[in-house]
Amino acid sequence: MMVKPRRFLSDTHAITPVLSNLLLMVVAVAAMALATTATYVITTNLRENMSERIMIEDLWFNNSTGNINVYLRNIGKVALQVSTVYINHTFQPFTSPFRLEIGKHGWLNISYIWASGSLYYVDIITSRGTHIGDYYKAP
Amino acid sequence: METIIRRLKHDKHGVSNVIVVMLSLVLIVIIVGNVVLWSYQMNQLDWERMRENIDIVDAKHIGENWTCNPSGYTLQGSTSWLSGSISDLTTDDGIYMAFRSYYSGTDTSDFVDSNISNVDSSADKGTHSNFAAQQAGPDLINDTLTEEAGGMVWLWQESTSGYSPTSSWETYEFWSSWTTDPTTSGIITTIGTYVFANPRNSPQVKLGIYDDSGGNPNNLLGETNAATITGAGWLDLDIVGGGVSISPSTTYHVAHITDIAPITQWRYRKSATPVSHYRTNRVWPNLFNPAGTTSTSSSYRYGAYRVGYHNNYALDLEVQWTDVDYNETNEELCIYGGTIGSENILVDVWDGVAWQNLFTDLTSGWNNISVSSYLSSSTFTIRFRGGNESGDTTQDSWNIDVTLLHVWSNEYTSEVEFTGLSNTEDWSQQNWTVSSAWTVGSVNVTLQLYNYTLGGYPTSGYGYIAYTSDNTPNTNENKSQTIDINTAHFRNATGYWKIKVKGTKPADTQYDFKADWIELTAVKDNGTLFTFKNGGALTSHLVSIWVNNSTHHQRYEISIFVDSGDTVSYICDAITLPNELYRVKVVTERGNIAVFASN
Repeated sequence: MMVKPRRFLSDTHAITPVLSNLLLMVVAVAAMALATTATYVITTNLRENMSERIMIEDLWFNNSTGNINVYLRNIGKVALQVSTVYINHTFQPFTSPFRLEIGKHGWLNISYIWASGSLYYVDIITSRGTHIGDYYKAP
Repeated sequence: METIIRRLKHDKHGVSNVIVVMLSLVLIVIIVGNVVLWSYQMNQLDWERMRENIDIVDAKHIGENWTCNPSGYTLQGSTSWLSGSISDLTTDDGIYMAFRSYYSGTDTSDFVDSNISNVDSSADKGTHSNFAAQQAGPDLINDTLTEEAGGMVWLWQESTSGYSPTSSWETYEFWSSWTTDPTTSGIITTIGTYVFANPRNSPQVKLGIYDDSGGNPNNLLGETNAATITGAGWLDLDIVGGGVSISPSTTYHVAHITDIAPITQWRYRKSATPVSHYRTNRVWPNLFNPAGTTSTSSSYRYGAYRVGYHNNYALDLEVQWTDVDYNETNEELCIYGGTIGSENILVDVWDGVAWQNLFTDLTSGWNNISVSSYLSSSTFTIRFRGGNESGDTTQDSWNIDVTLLHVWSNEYTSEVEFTGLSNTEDWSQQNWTVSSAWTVGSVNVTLQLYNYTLGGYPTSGYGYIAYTSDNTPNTNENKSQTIDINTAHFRNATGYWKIKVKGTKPADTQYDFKADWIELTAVKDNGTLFTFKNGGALTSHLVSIWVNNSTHHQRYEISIFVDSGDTVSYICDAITLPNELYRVKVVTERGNIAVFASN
């Protein structure tokens, strides 16, 4: 038993293949991990983009405040955040940040002085680029 | 196979390539599978959403209601019953119960309040003899407005230089004289004497003017009132009675007399001619009696005098009203004049910025003029002003008996209180209606439902309706109000209620109130009934209801599942539908919306 380690250490020809194989394994595992992570990230972004759904439950031309209040509901599979609001293709300020978890709903208040009888195109855009919008006529 | 395995054993690069390709394929499959799987799921969601078909068949209020009409009435004020009976009020059928209005106008005479105002920041000129006389009557007790002198013209004035003190204490009366020039004539109104030093014991002095007889004073033509002698300088006193007429080239004498002997001699003397005359030991009650012996000074003139007249008599007297009723239809300024001076007397009104003329002169008796265009606040100011304010040498006066504002409005009112019996159920809402007509147009009408908690009729909000009736007479108008809070405030403990109908109109003739239909409807709320129909192939999950009107958008959280093809009724106690036009929306979990609009 005392002889074998000595022989192993003295046999320098066997070390190089072992080390090279080990190194190759590490590189392969790392490459696979990287590829798997990249796959996860890519598929997650795609999945979230595909899973985002939002609806306008109600839009109120509020006489008491003079602003426009939009009641939004998250009917998708991921949480969402409203990033931009356009009225008649012009950016408008709103209560920011406005974030809705899955299945949640709430008022989005848009600071906009509207005129009775006028037609407005309200376009709400999420941070992932989903648009929800329609034409609304002020009462 | 053996060949391939053998070749692979020999070609180690081939094995690596196969492994890499396999791994890449696995990764691609994972990615694509993931994407396809999620895409499938979301497409299924969208597909289900598109196939969903929910509808609101109906949305209506549910509850009990009771309708009741008046069972009695009470006439208010002097309103009188004309025709019809209380049973005529149960239906809106054009069969009336009629009531006649009564006179309820106002007529106020507001006497002038004050004579101390100064709205134009210009001091008064002239005097009131008795301002209180203007505040009552007419009773022939007058306030005499008298012009005030604005300046003096001295016809004759002795120099005050060259005089020196004297120790002659025993004399009290002195003469001095002057002769008018050939062109001088007119009225002397004022005599002045020069006070050289303070006599210290405040004696009083009077001044007089005499005609001449042989170089001596003869007849007393005029005298002044008494005035106290104090400091040094000219002491000018007006002649009582308006003055003394003088003629050209005529000699006149002036004199003074004191009531007591001064402690310190106040009039000095100088050597001059004509010398003074004096009479010793004269006492006050004798006053100016030129009769008797006078002494002639040997060489002195005692005292210095002057005579003249006022040259600019003016009148500018403000009087003012406060707390005036300025909301009447007719508003007049009324001045009752007594004896009026020959000079015109103007009456102006202050419009807040400047004076505006109302009268160019007053006459004896009533002088009335409308001031509606000026009477716009509770304070009202006028002024009396002389007609000749420049170079007026005549002092005029005017008697004013009364100065007042006469404000009045003709108005007729009809006021009737109706009573009825309802119940003591827990009302969620009540609606009260009055349908009526008036035999004249544009009557100001108030309808009030008695508030038993308030203990009176409301003057705004619930229980109060105000309107102006149609300008066409006999037009039937239907007015109603719905009360949905504190409904129990409008009935008593036994369920009685009261409605008061009051109409007023500024008018000169009577008119009638015709009640056609008076009704109170009480509603007990049992919520709102919604009927949903699922016309789709999938079960729908309803998650919220919206009730919107022009002023409010209200969301209610619900959780109702409606099977495919089913029609479901849902009662929600928390939802009360608005009385005006509204829209109801229901939202499904998948994101579809159904809408129901009231008509």
